[in-house]
Amino acid sequence: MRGSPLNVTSGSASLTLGVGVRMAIGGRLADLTVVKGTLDMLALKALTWRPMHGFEITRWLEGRSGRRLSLEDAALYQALYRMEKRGLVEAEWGATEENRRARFYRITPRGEAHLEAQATWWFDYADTLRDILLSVPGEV
Amino acid sequence: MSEHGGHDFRRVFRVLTRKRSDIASDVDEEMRIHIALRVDQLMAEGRSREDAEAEAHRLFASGEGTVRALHALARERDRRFHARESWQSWLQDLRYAIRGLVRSPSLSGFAVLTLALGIGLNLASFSVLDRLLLRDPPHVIEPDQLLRVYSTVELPSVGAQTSYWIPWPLYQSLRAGVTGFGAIGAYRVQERVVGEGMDARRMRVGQTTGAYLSLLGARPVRGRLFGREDDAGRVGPQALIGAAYWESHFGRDPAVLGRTLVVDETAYTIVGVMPAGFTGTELRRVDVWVLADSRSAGNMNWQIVGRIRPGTTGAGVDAELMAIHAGTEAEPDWFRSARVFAASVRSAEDGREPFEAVLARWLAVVSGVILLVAIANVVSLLLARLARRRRELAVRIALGSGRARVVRLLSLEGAVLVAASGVVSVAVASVSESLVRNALFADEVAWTFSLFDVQMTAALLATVLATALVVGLAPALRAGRDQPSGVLRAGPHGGHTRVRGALTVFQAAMSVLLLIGAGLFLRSLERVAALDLGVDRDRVIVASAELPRPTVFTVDAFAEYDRHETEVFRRLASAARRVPGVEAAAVAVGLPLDGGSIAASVHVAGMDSVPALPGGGPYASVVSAGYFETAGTSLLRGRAFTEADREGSEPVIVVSETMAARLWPGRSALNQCVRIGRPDNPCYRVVGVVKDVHRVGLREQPSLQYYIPLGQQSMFGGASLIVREAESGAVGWPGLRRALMDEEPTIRVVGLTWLRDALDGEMRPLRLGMVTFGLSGGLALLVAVLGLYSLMSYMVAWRTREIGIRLAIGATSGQITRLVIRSGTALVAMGVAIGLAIAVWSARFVEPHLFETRALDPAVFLTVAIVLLIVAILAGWLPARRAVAISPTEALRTE
Repeated sequence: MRGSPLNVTSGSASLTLGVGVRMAIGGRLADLTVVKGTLDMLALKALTWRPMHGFEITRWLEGRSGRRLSLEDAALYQALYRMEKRGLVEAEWGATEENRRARFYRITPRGEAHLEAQATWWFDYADTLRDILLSVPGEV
Repeated sequence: MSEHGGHDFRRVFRVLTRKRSDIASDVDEEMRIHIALRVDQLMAEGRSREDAEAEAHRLFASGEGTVRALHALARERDRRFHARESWQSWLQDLRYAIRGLVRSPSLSGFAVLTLALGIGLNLASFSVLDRLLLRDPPHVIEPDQLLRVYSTVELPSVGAQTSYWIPWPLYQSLRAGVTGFGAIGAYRVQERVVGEGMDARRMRVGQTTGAYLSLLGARPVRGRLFGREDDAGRVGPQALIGAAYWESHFGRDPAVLGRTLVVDETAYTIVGVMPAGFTGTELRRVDVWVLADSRSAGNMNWQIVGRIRPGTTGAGVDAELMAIHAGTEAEPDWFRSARVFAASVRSAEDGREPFEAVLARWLAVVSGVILLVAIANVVSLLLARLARRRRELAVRIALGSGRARVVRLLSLEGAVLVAASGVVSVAVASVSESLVRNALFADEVAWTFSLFDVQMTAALLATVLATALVVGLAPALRAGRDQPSGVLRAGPHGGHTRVRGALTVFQAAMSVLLLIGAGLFLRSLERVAALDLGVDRDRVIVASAELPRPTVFTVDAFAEYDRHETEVFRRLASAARRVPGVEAAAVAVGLPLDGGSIAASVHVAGMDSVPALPGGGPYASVVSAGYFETAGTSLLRGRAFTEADREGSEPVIVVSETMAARLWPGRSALNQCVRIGRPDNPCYRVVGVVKDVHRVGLREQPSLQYYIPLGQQSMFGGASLIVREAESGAVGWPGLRRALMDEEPTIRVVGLTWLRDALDGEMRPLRLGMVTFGLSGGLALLVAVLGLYSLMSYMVAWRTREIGIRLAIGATSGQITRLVIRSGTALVAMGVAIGLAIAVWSARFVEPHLFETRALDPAVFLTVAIVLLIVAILAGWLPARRAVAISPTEALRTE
């Protein structure tokens, strides 16, 4: 299962991340601000595909979310530097397909473990929120 | 993975070499690329370039604040990398240091051993010092407030004598009226019989007033203390038992409270259990505490301890003590003129620092010096190694390893050596500590030594760290000073060698001094071992058996008791002979070695009075048949006593060699008539002559001695049984005790000791001297040898070129060997001469403590000197062999 940690199933419900968020916010995703810490998780998820440079990660996230995640590009770099310091990702300069020089990030085993743990927590959290928000008045 | 490792290495290299501006431009570049790519993307979606650029910047939020924040984060990230890398490089250096030390096992072994000896000896002496001088008495609260009352009495024959023995009446007055002490109590500790039947043993019993234990602040682990108001007769007899006794006799049974404990025929009720290690204000162990009763109040020998009231001065207390002393009428006459004062409870019986404490302090100083010398030696050993590694290190520095890195490597080598020594030193410490402890205290002191207690661990760490600092830094600093280019050309450092030479001389002198001390005590012990005491000290067991004492004090009652005792002891001797492993057994009143024989005058025909000998006498012993063969005293002429020599048979005696020669010079003593006591008493016919025995101990003056058969004289009370083992260790003591108790059930206690135990008092200082001098001297010698060896190795290493030239121009290897050995031996010889001179000077301090040995014993001096020189030659020989193995061409290339 390593390398695709987001396939983790969390107890009661098997949901993709997108669905969980949608349920929680009641369908209004356009201005969704990315919660701190969640960005780390998202960037790590992107890197499970392959090593990417910063812009590639941005594009990947935008592609997955349909540009609905409101995210400053600078925040991504802050997250990446922080994670680099913690040893969750590592980076080195390389060349893009268009032969431009860019800094490529790669997830480390430690980063994979971190992603798995965070994602599990997030599912539990989302499930709990979902149960509360969907509860019908009069139910115990 | 190797590719990964390669990346890693390159990144490390970049990280280590990067500066702050590099990091910033990296971040800027990454940002620029991002925005450029974003602009491409937006333009591909159909935006204009201007529009796209504005939107890209907006999306990035590339304000000044953001950029600064990114720079800061990147810097922090790189610092972390740096820390990780430097940790890895430390580990790498550590591995390198360990590998290097393992590759030269003899050097590492010597260094570790030297330091371990030094550290271990210091730990051992610290533990002794700690117990005697530093540590508070266990379970006593604020012991600094406690003072003991001392008295100095002027005695006509002896002069002024200070002791802590105080008569009871003074205690009573103080208890009633003293204000300088907030609380005051009295106690005394004696050997008494505790328990009944087979369980009865002689134990150390503290008799205390009700207040003593509570004023110390001690708390029982079970039950309660004696109450302050429990003094003298108001409550029944009460006892507190120590934790050790609780465990050994009651199996830690919590229901022990309320049970009865018999101490010297009095039944005490156990009211509590004292914590392990509690000894009151005593250094020696106390097994049981009992409440003093009215019967003990008449006794003159009490120790008084008080807790000083806050704000009271020592001088104030002394003045008050004197005033109360002057107002106490009931004091005995001899005590009236005494000066009374208070002093620390740590002081010995005579009010001064205990002998053990003096010795412990001396040991601490000596071991401190030995550690310093050990450190100096290891440092020079490492410097010698450094001299051989100059090339390697120069290459490292030239390759860009950095001076700091080389310094670090050398420090690590030192630290590793010291750490290993710390581990080994624990073994050295525990061995030498138990040697010192046994010599100092036997097992009488309640000793709570543990290598793992806080103080010991702290002492170990402190010593190791201090040592590591010196050992690690000295060579490192030295190497740090060398210029890479200069290293290859640098010659020997003359000053340095001179210092090391002086160090060697000093060590040799110190070893000589300490070893001569050890030798003198060893010689004394040899003399003791060779001494003919007239009895066989090693195979004779003394069994004392206490019978119920007469309760009526009349002449008839004593005579009856005497007859009964004689009869019982005869039966006990027979019973003992049936015990497996027993070769012989006999009864005696007045044993040799412990001064137990009785002075009883004699009268012989033709002499107004018997000659007075320096040892005094004449002294009588009352002995049963078989006594002489049991004790191992040889019969020279005539016969020994038989079972037929008893009450009612013809009165006979056996006399000593000296007595026979003095009373009947030139004649045979046999069949002569001796009247004991008064001149008109009946005649005792001399039937035998035996060898003289040592009556009082090792140091013996000649005296007149004679023996009377058991039953023909009053026993004077106090018969003992002596038992001879068929071979060493043949007799089991519990079996012997059981056999005696079974034979006579009224026996209260059987005490078993060796006959030689009576010599302990005299043997102790000799053993003490032997152990302390021997231990410190032995270690000092080892340290000195290692030091000399390292010095010689160093000299050879640095004179390699010179040796090569000499070999090249035709010197033989014999000449070279002699040259090297001579230079080392000369230093040692100088040290030996200095050591001998100091030993001659200090002889007078040691001589009083020796036994039949002169402090200027030539054999000891000569032996020590020769040992030192032989050791010096051996220490030089190994490096010398290395020197002659050098080929001239190689030697010339080294410089």
